[in-house]
Amino acid sequence: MKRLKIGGKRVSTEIPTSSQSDIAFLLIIFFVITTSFALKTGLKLDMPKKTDTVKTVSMEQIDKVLITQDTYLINGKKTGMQGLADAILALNRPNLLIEVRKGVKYQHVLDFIGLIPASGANISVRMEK
Amino acid sequence: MKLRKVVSHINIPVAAMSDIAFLLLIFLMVVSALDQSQKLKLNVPTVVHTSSISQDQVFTVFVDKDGFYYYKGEEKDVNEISFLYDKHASLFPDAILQVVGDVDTEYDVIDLLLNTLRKNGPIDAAFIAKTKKDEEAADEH
Repeated sequence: MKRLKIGGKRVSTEIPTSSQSDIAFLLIIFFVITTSFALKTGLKLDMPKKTDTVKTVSMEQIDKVLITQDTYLINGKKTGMQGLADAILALNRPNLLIEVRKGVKYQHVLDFIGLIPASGANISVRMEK
Repeated sequence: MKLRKVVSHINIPVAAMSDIAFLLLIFLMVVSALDQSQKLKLNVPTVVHTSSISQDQVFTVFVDKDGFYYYKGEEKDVNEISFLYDKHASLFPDAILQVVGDVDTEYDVIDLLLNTLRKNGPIDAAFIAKTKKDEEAADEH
């Protein structure tokens, strides 16, 4: 061990490293505690596969839904957010054509699409023409 | 006979412990990915039911409330996203498009993205959303 002589006293020139591992482990513990796992949840869309054949459905077999800024029109009948789930379940045809009016917010569309899995209907979404 | 007193010093070598700790720290910092949605401050929509989305072969596109698309933290236009998605899909045949949008994003922007990416063939897609329960749990934190 090297020692310097300052004012008649011998002083160690080594940097104390004994607490370095404590600091490192404290940093690890901090990162482990503050890290949050990004668990992704959402709506999985059951899209047609490459191998699927195209099925033609007549307009009589389809229920039409128009999503506007403030309401939903199911086969032309105005339906608010309340009672929407019941209105979807009441539809007895398995195919839904959803048209979205320009300027409608994403949340408003997902409010509707989020209720579809319970009904088991096939949906097709497009912008209003 | 006089027995010799044996003095033994048992020491666990701890000199390399700080090296191990710092290596662990560096590993954790390198492998952890930043959550881009927090960077963009997106308010993900709320739905009634959600299911967990597999993060294998996922292609994540962020769409902010002003209608700008982001891929890996960089702003891209829809054609650039389409090109990158095709490249991703050619490497991963079961690729899933994961759309992370904001509640105030206009649906037209999402529709344009889906239609542009669908031009070269069918796509698998998922909309990232949370339930009311998730939102309440996040608020508590």
